[in-house]
Amino acid sequence: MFRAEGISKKIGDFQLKGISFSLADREILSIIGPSGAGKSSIVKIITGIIRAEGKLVLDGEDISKFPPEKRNIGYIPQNIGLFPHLDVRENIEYPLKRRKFPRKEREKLIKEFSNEFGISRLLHRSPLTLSGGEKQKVALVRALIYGPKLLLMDEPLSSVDSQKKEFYLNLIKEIKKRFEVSIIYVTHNFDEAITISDKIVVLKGGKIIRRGIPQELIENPEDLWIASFVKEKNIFKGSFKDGIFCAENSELCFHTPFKKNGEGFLSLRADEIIISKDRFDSSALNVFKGKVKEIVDLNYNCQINAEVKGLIFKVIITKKSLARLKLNLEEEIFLHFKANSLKELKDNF
Amino acid sequence: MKKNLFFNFFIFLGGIIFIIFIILPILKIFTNLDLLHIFSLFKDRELTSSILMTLYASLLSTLFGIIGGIPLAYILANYNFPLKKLIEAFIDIPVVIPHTAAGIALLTVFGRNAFFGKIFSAAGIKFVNEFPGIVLAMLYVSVPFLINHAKEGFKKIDKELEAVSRTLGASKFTTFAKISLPLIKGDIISGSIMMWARGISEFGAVIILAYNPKVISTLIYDRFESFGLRSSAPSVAFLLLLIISIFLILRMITGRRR
Repeated sequence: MFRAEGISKKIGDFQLKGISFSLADREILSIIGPSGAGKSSIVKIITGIIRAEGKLVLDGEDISKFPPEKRNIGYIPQNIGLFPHLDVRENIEYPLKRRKFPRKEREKLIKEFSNEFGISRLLHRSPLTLSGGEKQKVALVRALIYGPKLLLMDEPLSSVDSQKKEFYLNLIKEIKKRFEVSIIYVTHNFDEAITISDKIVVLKGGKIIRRGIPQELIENPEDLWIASFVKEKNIFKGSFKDGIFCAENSELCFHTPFKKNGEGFLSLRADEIIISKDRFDSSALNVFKGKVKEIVDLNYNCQINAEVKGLIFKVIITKKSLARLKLNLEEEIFLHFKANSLKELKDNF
Repeated sequence: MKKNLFFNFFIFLGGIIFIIFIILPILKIFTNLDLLHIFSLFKDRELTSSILMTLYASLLSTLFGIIGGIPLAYILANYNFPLKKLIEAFIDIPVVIPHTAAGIALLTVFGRNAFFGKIFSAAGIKFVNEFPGIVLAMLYVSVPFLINHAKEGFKKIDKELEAVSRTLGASKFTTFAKISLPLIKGDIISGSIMMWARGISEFGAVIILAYNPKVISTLIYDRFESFGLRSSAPSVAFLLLLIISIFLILRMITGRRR
């Protein structure tokens, strides 16, 4: 188990403020955030390259004062970090030699790991001649071969082709189970984080602004930056006044449950909007007439993009509903949604 | 089109002029001499021992430069501290001042009556008109070449590699020895060759600190002053042949490694 408690550090004009999180054994925690959020600083603090206020506890032991070589944390940096002057075998052997593993044991481990990761044929190659995926595997072997308790990966898939990302995300999940290691996965890619993580913390401006399991973040992003990644969300900018929200650059106003005044953002899940061809009385306070502008096929569902007073609403319906409604482009429809379906987003920038 | 022609002609002409300017004096030394006479200089004991001593003294100064200069280069490349820019400027001073001035400056510190001169003298090491003085003068004027080469090399290293090495179990020193140094091997080799070469050709600082025993530059100057051009030219040709051969071999070896 790993715990970070109240990590604070001032680096130039930037400051990390009271960062705390924990992850259990065999758990993957993603730290996500836009560039400049402080992800790299957190990575350097966990590895011990820079010191900070606060406590880092690994398996009950306070490692905050330990130098990097004594922390027992495997680390894969963004650029993979294979030593270019050593061949693949020497790279893999490097942590074993530093930890004074006997020669026979080194040989055995190198053989076992290289067979398991399918890199036996690469052992005498220079890292400079490997593909992005091969480098990733070699870096994983090198970081795992000496049995660290925690694996720290900083944007590890940035050099992997997008088609192969899914394979490597599954490989990382397998590694968690197979090697019984906890993983901290640092990324700015929301999709990677929700695919791989048991838990997510969102970092912005040196602070944690949100934490939770991936499903919670998708259902209730709370933050504008997170919401921008959730594809089936409608996000509106505008102003609140006495429970009414008027969207920017449109004459459209909705009922909201928020009794505040001033500027702000709202999100509305695309599957919380009901479409009808005729106006009917319903419990929903917000009913608007609009026009179908686009129908997008999404495997099992469809996304209807409907325009209401210059504002586009994304609405998700099943293909069965689409067939029943027989919707056509430019056809007039009614959109219904409850005030309570609207969620306020904070712009934490 | 015309502009291009003019440009090509201009750079071609400039290049040719400078190649002739560099090569002509060297060729002229050889064309004026009887080759058999040059080879007979192998029997000139004063000349051969002076060349060997020069090569050896410069090699020693390069070794001292590697021992002290590389850690300094590492510090300058990796740490920020007060007066860093000033220190970097001071490191370049021996290159830019007249070397006779550098020799006099050394004499004020390591001369017979100077503080450090006395301390070293008590330990049995004398600099004035002694072999250690030659090594010291060569070290002083040529070590900036090595420090600057190594510093630029260290700056180029990806800091993540050093960070990864630490997390993989290596101490700071092991990371320096196993990762940082091998990664800048090429810079250290080229810096060392530059330093060695600069040491061999050193004259100004050496002549002030240690006129005797005579390094090759002092010996050639001495022969020129005492016996004129005809007497000194064969020694110069002999030296040039030797130095050109050594540097061609070194270039071939280091070129192949890279």
